[in-house]
Amino acid sequence: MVVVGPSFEECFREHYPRLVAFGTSLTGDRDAARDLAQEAFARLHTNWAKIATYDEPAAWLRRVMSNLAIDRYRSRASERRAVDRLRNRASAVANDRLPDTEPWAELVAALPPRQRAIVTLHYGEDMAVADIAELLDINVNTVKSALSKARDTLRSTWEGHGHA
Amino acid sequence: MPDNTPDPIPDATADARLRQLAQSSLAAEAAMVDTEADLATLQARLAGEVTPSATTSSRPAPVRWLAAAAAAVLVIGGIVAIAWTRTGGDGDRVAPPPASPTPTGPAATRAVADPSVVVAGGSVTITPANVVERNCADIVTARPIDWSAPEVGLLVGGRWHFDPSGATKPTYPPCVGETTADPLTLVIPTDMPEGRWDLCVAVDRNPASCATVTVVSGLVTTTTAAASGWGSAVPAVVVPGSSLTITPAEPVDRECPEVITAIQLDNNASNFGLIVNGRWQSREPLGPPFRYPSPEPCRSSAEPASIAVPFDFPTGLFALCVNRQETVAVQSTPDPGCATVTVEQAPMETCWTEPVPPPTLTDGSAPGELSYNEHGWASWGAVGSNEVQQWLHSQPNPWFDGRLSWWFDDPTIMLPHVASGPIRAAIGAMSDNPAVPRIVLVRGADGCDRTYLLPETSDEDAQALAQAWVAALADTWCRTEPIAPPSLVDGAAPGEPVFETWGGGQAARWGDADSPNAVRHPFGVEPDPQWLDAEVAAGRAITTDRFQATAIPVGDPPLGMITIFVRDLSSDCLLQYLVGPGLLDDEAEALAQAWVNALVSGEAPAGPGHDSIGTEYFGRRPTGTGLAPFFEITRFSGDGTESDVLGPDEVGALFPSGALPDGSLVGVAGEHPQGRCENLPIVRRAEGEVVPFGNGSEVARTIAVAPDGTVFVTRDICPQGRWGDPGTRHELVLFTEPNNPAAVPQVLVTRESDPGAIQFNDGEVIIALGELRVEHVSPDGRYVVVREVFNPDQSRFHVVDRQAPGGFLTLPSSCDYLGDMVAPPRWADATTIVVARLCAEQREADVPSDALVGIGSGPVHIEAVDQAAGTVTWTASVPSVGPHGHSRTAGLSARRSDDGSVQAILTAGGDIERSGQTFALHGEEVVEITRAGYSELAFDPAELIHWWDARPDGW
Repeated sequence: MVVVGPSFEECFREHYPRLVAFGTSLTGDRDAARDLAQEAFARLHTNWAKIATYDEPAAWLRRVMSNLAIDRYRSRASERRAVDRLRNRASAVANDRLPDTEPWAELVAALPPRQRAIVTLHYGEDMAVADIAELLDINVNTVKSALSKARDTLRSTWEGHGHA
Repeated sequence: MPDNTPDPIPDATADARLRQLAQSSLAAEAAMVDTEADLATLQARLAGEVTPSATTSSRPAPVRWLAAAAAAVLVIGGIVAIAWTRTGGDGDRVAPPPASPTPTGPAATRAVADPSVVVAGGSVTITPANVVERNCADIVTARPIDWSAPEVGLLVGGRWHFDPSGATKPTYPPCVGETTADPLTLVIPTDMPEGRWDLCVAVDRNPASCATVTVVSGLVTTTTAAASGWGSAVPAVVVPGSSLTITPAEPVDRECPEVITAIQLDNNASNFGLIVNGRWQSREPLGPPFRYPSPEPCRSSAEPASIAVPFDFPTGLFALCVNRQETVAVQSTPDPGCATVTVEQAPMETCWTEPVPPPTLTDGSAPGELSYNEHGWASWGAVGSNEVQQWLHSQPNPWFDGRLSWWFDDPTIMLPHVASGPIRAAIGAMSDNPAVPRIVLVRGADGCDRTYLLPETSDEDAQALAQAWVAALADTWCRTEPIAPPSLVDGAAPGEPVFETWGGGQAARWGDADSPNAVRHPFGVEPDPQWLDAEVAAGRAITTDRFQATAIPVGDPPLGMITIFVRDLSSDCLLQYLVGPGLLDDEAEALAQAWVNALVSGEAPAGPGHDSIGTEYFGRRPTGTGLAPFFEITRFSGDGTESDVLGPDEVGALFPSGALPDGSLVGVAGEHPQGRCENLPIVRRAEGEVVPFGNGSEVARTIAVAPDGTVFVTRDICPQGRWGDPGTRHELVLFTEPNNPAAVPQVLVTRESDPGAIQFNDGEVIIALGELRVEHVSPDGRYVVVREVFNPDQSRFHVVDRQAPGGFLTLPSSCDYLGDMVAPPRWADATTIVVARLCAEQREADVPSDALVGIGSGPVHIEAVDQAAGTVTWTASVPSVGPHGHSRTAGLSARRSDDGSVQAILTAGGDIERSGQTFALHGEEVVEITRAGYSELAFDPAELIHWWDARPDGW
């Protein structure tokens, strides 16, 4: 029997709800976000001896969540895309459905998953561009570029919804 | 009409609104989470007690019919994602890869474990990839490959020191190990947990010292698994792409068609899912565990299920079940429908780790210097200009490797691609966005599929580049690579080549060097196309829409070699192969035709199978222009497989010994003279000394000694005359008293010289037809077989009965009119003579007995004659197979088979440049046993020795 230690439980209680919320923004699907958040914590558990010493386990969790969400997006999008391309149809990729989620998740749903992660980390978690780049292990300029494009898209969507 | 378009929102305002919306939404979303419930779920999952099922979200059913394509494109998505980030694009469809160790170049070579799967208590040998500084005292460090425990354990002297909690650290003894690449064999402790471990022998645990070892307990072996209530699996250890058979322990409910449920037994059941139609469908960790294609199982059965492990199947210890599973907790209750199977990582191929320059950069220039980008990819050319990248895999990824090959191999997925010979290239991309790099998947002549990216190239340019690359690679492949022929001469698969120097260059050889099967490919030089072109122009070449081929003798077959030219018109690749010696033109042409057939159909030529004839037999084949005797004799077992080649002593023993009962040896002194009236002295030797034969002045042109010591000779009698003068004659005589100087030889057959039979006369040498040559004597010494040379190139055979001198023996026959015997008659036993003869269309009496013309035509008839009864006891023939055209003779061998009937081998139907066919005849059965390169087959190897063969001992 594997025992989940108190410190791990504390970490779970502290970070799990916010991680689910973050995942919901990335996936547009609350149930999927819970699945992924649980998976992230399962991985945290297997690496707990090491990660527990980190100053911010939450950063590690967000990184795992981002990657899990992108993997999930790719696997589902690529299925559709393959079908579309091989059927010689338009290669538009349908976005995940948005059942009963908060407005932010609905707003960012039109973005590619990496942009969703970047804008959510930037606006929702108030993270600086450099921190996002470090967290996601990508170039700072990539973050800036993605943030700029995402902002344009969001603004367009925002205006389209009459929120001006 | 009023403009209702809102004014643009200032950036600062927009940022503030977005921040407000994001933070409030996230807070609201987080507040909705039932943390305690989900914590309980996670704890249960980590404890392995229940199926993780936190959510019940409905997901669209996967599109089964193109799941494979989806997977392939998914992979490409990953490729593009990485490249896209690298090029700084907007990433509108793709994203950087999951955080993982970034390769910095070709993967370091790792140590090798043998075996790679070890039952606890067993031993394993770890061989470092190169010299490493070993731990002292043969200490080996162990770490779970999946990092499920962060700590490193020690294996010391078969004992296990490991604390997964990390509370106690392993301690090393104060000693220094050797620096060596020697392998280390260690015993896996019986208490070492199951799972996949990274075992390292070096102090610094560098990859060259580390090998992956899967440790399994006895419970996962097939036999114990079956006894403990599990089903069984054969084999119990597999790699993705391989096959296995699962047999339930008892009848269980099954799906139609078969569905395999897979649950990982190690690593906290982190992988589980279904294998449906050969495809792996993994389930997400916390979703419903399994969703089966059919509502209900359709049958109950204990029959075995054979499956192929999908390429993307994860590694680890799995329960593979033919019955449905409701949860992933199968490991706690052995299930008769499940078998435990270890899925190992497929071996890493250098195809995916070694950089191989593309034929050109995107602008057609040479690749130049290799560099690595920040992702560890190989890169040639200038970034933003003519750059070509190659994706190098730092870790094995069977999922990727298997899927991409479908582009070329799976007809349901196959994408349009350019091909030439074995070279393939296809382009792909994840987006229509021209800024997204194009991918070129290239299959090289080595069979490797490599992935190149063209960051700055359009679809059209990528397609053109792919075509150019294929042309360049095919050209290189054709001119510089050893290219295996479709088969060896006998149709067998060529196997691995052996390289040898050849004509100042190099040749690859398939098949044994001394075998008629061998095929050589001189590579690195461009063949002269005129030979094949001339044959094509003359309409003599083998031609199809795509291939041309012909066989051109190099020397004088069968002693010389033959070149087979094959041209692939799709790539204009001209290849030349050398076959022989030992083959005739038609055999090489037949081989060329078989190769072309194989190339066109894509199927290997028929193998070298030969029908069994129930007893061993021998074959004679030319061996080229080396040392005498210029042939060799091969022994074949009854099932047609080659047994061995007779050695020089064995071949020498096959020649007639000329031995008399007193041990002395009789022969003629010299080679058979062509000129008539030129006899040779008969020589007798005893214990190395020359002793008299008869009166000491006897002569002969040919000679044979019967087992009873009777000596038969043919000779010309020319009293003071030249051949053709009155009184000159040719005779067959026998000596029964070789030791008696006064004994007079008995004349069996006499032929007066015929001036009309003289073929050549220069005043000194006269060559004339009609000579008799002694072939052999019957086992009882009563009958002697003679060859009559009635034509410069043609012979026939006669039997002379020493008890009925004066002429040739007339044997009963099934023919209405007797034709010539075209092979030396054989005795199947003391009284049964077997002959090969032609039937004639007119009475023998109508043809003068000494007429120098052949008598009879049509197929060769094999007849067994009981000499005691004077009856034909068996006759057989092969329709349309007559004697060899050039010699009008055939090869004949006969024996009495185990069932008492007569069995024969007939070699016939050939010509001066056409090989014969060989048949085994037995009762009504006729089996062709022709072998390319073999001129004749026989039951008795002595029957393969001909009068013109040079004795190895000089006699």
